[in-house]
Amino acid sequence: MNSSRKSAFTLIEVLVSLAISGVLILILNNLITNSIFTDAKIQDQLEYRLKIESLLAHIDADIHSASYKSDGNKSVKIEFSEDRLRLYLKRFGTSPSSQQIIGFEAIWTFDSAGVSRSVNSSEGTHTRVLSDTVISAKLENLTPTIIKLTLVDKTFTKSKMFKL
Amino acid sequence: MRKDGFIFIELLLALAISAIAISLFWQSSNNRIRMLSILEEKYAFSRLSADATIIRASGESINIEPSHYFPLRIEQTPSDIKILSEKFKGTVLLK
Repeated sequence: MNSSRKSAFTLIEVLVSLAISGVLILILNNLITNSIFTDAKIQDQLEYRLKIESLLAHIDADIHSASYKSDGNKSVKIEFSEDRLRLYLKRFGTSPSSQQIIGFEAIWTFDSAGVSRSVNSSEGTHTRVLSDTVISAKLENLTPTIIKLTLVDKTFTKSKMFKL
Repeated sequence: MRKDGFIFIELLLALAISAIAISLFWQSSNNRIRMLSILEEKYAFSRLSADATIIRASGESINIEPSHYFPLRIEQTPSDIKILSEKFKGTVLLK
């Protein structure tokens, strides 16, 4: 027998340690992957909800700046069908090209394509898609001058009142 | 060339560094989620304040739906809206 050979792990010991390491690596890998995936999902949801909040703030600013009609009410028209909600409002704003104050019509659309805002002015029509996620939108008249817009998604419901 | 392998202290040090790195990653991720959540709460609060102002100005008795202002936790009475969330605790909005 070779007396110079040093004592080392036996095959069984190596196999057992490999098996234990394998199980530990699998468990850790699952835990870390799940946690990263869940974190990313929560962050995406939160960012989407913040986007919807900023959309509501944007609509509020549009309605707030809407011009008045001769009857004293704001120039806001609502068109509601089964799968589409449209808000038409007339207001003034700064032209992005000429930097002049111009009158334009802003059209908010909530439908199966998501949420978009179009601007119709003498300079042309520009449409900007603000969210391509389908969201259900509902509009109720709480009083003759107060409307409530409710946006419903799988994970949240947000509403905002607007004074016309 | 080194033959003896790592000593116990070296292994512990490596483990400690890994643990610190993982906990830093975990914390930064949690902080980001918390920050986004606080931001959403602030948005919800400003939406609720604006809605309360509209209700007050109208003089009508309009009820709000508390779940629409999540993550803000609120309690509604016929005359006011109390905020229960930690950040705005004690705030009362008159209707």
